[in-house]
Amino acid sequence: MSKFDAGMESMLDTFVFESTELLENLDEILMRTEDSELGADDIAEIFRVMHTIKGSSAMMGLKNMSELAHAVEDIYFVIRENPELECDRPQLYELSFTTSDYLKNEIENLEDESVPLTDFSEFIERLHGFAKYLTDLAKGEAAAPPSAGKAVEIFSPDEPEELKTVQITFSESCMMPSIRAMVLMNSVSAEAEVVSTIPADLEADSADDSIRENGFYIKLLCDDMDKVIALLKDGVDVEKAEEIKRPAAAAAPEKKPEALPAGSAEEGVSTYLVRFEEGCLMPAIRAMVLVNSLAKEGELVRTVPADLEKDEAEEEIRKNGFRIEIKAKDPDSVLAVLKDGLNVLTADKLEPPKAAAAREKAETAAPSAQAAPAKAAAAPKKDAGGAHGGGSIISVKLEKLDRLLDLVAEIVITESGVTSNPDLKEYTGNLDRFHKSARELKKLTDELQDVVMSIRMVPVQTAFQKMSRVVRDMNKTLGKNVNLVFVGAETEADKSVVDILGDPLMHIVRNAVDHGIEMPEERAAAGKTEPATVTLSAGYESGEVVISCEDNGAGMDPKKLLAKAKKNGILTKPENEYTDAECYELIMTAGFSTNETVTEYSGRGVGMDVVRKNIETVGGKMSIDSELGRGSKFTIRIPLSLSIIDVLDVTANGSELSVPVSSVKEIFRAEESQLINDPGGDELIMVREKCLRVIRLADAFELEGERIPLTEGIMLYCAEGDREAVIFADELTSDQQVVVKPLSILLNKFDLKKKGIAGCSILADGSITLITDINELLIYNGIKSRAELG
Amino acid sequence: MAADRTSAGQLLTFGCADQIYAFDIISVTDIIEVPEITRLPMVAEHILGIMNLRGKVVPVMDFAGRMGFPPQNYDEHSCIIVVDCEGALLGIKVPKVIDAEAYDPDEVSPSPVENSVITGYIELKGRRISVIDCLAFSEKGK
Repeated sequence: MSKFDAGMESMLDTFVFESTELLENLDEILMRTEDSELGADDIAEIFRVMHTIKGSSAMMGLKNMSELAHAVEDIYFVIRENPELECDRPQLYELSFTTSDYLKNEIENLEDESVPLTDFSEFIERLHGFAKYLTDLAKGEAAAPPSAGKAVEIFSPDEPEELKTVQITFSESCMMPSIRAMVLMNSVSAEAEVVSTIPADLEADSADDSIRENGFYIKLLCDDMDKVIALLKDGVDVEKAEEIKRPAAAAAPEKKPEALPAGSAEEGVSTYLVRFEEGCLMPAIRAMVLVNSLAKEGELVRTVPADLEKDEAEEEIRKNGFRIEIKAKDPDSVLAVLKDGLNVLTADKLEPPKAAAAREKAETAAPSAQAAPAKAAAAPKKDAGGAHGGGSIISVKLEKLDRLLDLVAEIVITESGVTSNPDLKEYTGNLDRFHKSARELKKLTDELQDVVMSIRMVPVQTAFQKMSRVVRDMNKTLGKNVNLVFVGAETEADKSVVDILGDPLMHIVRNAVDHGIEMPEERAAAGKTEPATVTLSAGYESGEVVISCEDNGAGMDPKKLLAKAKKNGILTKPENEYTDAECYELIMTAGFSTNETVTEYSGRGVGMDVVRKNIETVGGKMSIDSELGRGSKFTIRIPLSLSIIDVLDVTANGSELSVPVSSVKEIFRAEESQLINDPGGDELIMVREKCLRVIRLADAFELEGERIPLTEGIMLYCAEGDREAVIFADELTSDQQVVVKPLSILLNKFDLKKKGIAGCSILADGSITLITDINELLIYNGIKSRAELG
Repeated sequence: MAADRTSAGQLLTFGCADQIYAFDIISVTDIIEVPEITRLPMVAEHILGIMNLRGKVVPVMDFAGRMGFPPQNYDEHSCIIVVDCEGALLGIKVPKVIDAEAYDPDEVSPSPVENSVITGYIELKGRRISVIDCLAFSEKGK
């Protein structure tokens, strides 16, 4: 028996994906705002997340999730309506985080039918309690400011009468309304003199949002208004352009939407107000059903809200009720139909008071003044939604991208097979046009390749962000007040690499906070004044993504580690032969745990060895460095298996090799006077008062051939981390972009990576070039880092 | 009958140093002409280098070198047999491919030598054929 509605299985993937993304988004907002201010945008966003989850899980038939989301939505509804409200924030965040966890957990278990749907009703009670507390609090603050005060003042009081105002509405899909607006202003300049616009500064970042929310207004002086309007209407993405007049009376634009006109003055038309039950999940749909059921009763004049399919309709109905104006023969029977509707709480016939009717007339005279605040209330939600569901982002299965990438690689190779086909050489006629087209084709395929590559690249931020949550939770339980700092979170890596990083990072960060960082008292006792910090950083080095996690905690004692390892019987050689670095590596051995007590977060001794294994299976490496009393640093290096890098192609004794440009600081030819021969046989070179080792690529890679004098070849001044040396090659042949592919695992036993070969790459002509790993090359050839030299 | 058919396999036989060797055809993915092979530094002598097999980089071994035979004469009959060693492709350069022949794995006399590259021997059409275990041959995991 499936947990969700039959027939919804096809939607499951999408549901899981979208909800997970929404919840991550929620976590991010909660994390960011927990210690600072919860802005109106954030509240709206949280509200939207909950609203969407409520809707989609209701659609999937997951009633428990839907109700949970609903309860949270209610809380944020109150908060949104009363932004000034001072409430119990720790509790609010605790509830919100717990909700997020519950929902995530539920989504994870969705496909597992052995796990029943969780009953959240107890927790929902708590949420309801909190919502009630908030509502009471809000009622206490009688002077709560009106919520719809966002309207833009369109008409300034001292505006001359000949100044005309035009309101322009752009279509919803319009990406950059501010730019469209600028274009429009230019286009009318021939017909009219533009005095000012609302928003005034179209180049400001906020202009787009403001236009989307409130519309765009131009104040201008002109002779022929119709012509101007026609011009404006012709504009790209313009939905509507109309002249608006200043309202006759001082109609207050900040009028609350709650004060809806109670009825219309028109003959025979009666107005009904329907309110739905609190628990009604989709009032807009219920409203639609009602409208349909009224079809027999009479002619529908209009409804408020008018468009029931819009997202905002739900909320508006919930807030103001649903209003129906209908020309009906028998008002009582209409009322009866309405009252019979599902989830209908009350349905009343409204008598049109005269004052209200009069006011409505004033409003029709000033439609824009009324439209503006109404839109202002609805727009922010829509806007926030644009980032996700707005059609500008789609999600694609990774396998499809893999296939695309393979295809593109094949196209590139085939293309060069065609354009440099040997048959062409035998052809004696004119090939100018062919070559021109061939060049065009090459340009396009190059671009295609770049684009496809870039699609797969995502910032490591996504993996880092999840750690904020881990650290936050641990701070709450352990009371260590650890700061989590990100460095280089914008570093991009292949999607698959970032996905792989998630679990290892979680383990390492947990270890750092749990074992690494001391309790506040211990820190104080050790005289540490700086705040406890865990730093996650990312960057590139030698065609690898380097991720490190550094803490300024207690550090590790090699002797202690050794003793512990001895006790657990995992030593593989005599105790005194272990170097410090090897001692640290012991903690990545199976069956090792240094913490005496096992905590909720770590310490079962199955952490680090699993982490190391995971990283090694994707061709990565992990290393540990530590200083007792100062902290530890865990570094993960993962090859950018699919990334493109820039390389310099060189030859050494007839072999072609590629050196990543990122490793090379400088290329030069050596002068005899720079060269020094060390008595030990090493060749050295002076580069701007620095004495560096010269490594002949041919020697480093054991390529046979003649040793040419150093002055005849090319020098590459390479630096990796704080290791430096000059690499010598015979010739520099070209520079290009390549895709690094790892060498076959069948070659693993030759340790080529350690000796300085990172992998290889297939070039456009189908030939293969070897990519060097300068960092490894320097280490393997005994180049010491500055730290090691002391 | 059906059981017979599934148990019967095919051998890809090839000659080297006056002997006949064979791979079970199940593990063979391609037989190709000898392409351009990019040399690899710092590897064993019998590793000829790497080649581009339709966008995949595949290492190439010299069969004779791997078996410890003296270098063979390679001519236009020489080719590369590509075998799949549990997901990793390996190209093996052989002097001459002979044929694909049906055989019954039960008729192979297993070699008593442990961890040998030769799984066993079989007599087909009056010739003795040495059946190679491509996983052992590839030195994978060593």
